Amino acid sequence: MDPLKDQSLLSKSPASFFFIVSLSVFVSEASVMLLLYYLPQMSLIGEAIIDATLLIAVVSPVLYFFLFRPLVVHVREREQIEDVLHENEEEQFKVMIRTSLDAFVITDPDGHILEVNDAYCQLTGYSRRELLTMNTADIEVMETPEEGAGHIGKLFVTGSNRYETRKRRKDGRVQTVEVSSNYSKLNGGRIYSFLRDITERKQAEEQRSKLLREIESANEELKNFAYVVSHDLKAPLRAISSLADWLSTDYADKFDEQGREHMRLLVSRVRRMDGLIDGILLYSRVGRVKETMVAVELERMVHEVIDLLAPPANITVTIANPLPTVMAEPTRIQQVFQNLLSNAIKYMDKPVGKICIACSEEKAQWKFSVTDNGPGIKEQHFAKIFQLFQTLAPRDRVESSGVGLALVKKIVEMYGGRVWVESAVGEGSTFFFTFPRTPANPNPNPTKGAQA
Amino acid sequence: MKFADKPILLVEDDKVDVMTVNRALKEIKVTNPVVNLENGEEALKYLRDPGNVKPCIILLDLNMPIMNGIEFLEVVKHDPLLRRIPVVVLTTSGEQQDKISSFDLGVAGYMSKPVDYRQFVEVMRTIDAYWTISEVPL
Repeated sequence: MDPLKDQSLLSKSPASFFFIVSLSVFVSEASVMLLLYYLPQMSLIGEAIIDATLLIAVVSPVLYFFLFRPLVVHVREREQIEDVLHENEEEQFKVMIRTSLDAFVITDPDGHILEVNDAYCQLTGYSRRELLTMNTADIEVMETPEEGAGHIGKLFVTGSNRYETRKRRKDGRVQTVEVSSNYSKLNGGRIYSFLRDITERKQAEEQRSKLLREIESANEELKNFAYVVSHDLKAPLRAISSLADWLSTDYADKFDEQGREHMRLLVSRVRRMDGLIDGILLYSRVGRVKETMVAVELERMVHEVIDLLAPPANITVTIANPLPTVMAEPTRIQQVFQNLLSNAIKYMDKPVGKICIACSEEKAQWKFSVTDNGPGIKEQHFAKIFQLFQTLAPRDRVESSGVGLALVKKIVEMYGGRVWVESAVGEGSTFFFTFPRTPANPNPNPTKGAQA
Repeated sequence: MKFADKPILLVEDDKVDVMTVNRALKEIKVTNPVVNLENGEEALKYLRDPGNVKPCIILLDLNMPIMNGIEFLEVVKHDPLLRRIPVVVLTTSGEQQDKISSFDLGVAGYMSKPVDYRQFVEVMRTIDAYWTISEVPL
């Protein structure tokens, strides 16, 4: 509320103010009349002088007491209140700065320290007394004079500046600080700066990015390693294969039954190794070689896969319900179905084999399943079968590289999906996998994925 | 091959691979002489020697010491005197980048060396059949 209203009669009650003024005018005019009545020989000028004099003598005090004085008193009081408030405010700022966890320093434009708080003393390791004789440049570490000038130059232009710099403590320890400065032109120029020790944060950041770089390069190396190794293993393998072939051809008459059997085993092991190497290549290519994401009509693609696998006459493959169209890399999604279906066909042990593909919607994902009435898998192997090179049947009985399910897992997880199996021994297995209905870009390094 | 008298230039450093090619060619009755050189640099030296007959085809391995197949292609395919000799890459590499680089440099074919010798013979048979029919500006 404006205190004026309490002080001046004019604003408090204009009617009474005007009444008092009118009354005083009436009193002065009445006195003039009386005087004129007793002093009839007065000239007109004399009358006017008396009239004016009385008017002023009566009205002025009224105006003074009822209007001006209250105003003056009010302004004075207000000034006093403001002074008190101002002192309080200053005191508050002083307390704020003194108790601040951030270091605070005031310098002149040349960097001479004019005032510091306790936190600044702690940050630098110098006492306040020492600091007041120093220049901020004395505790600056890396900054060249040009760099420092750059910070200050920007400060003079824009009025404020935030930057990171390094300070050397009195004990020699170097720390990284974040500085927020403001420049004021008052008192010949003052720079007010808050400083925060971010050494630990900085170190943690550096450590983290270093770790990240190491992981990235290790990952890169691993990817290339898998590729280079398998590539380089192929050349000698080819030589072994050729030489074994020539030996068994050129010296066919010199081999007895056992010798021929050994050569046969040698060649079959070479083929197996070739298959393993191809498996590694295939596995390492997922995520390393990127394909364009396109809309894949799974219905059509799965039929193509079934045709490609050409299941024997005793096995029927059915699709339970219409399959959707998904956004994916065509080769990858095809590999998933191809591996699941070829496993179901390869390991089928029943005279009438039944394989069924189904699909259902589950929140933001599609859930696909491939069910067979094959031999089934013991629960203890549920996790193991998805690992690279793990097979349950001896390789001599069922030729398998042990890459298929690992590949399926890697692809599905790359798209943010999940793969698992449910099975009853003797009755069959169902392999499930989920696939996002609106896939984000495939993540080439699934966190849960097997490393290759 | 169309010209039975012109040599086949085999740029290959692996001894057994050289034997494989020679044996396979013999098996499918290709009688062209085979000139084997161990890397791109030696092959270039041979091709630029006016005393040598230009080959009717170059069978090129990619992974070789000193000058590899891609580096060799970069030189040959920018040389007006050599660029028209058909080059068929014969390699272990199935790497997409190698295929892209090879075809960018105008190879006439890209064959992956099969591990199985029998299949290798079939690859050579196909190459021979093609380059027996195909016209070449020699």
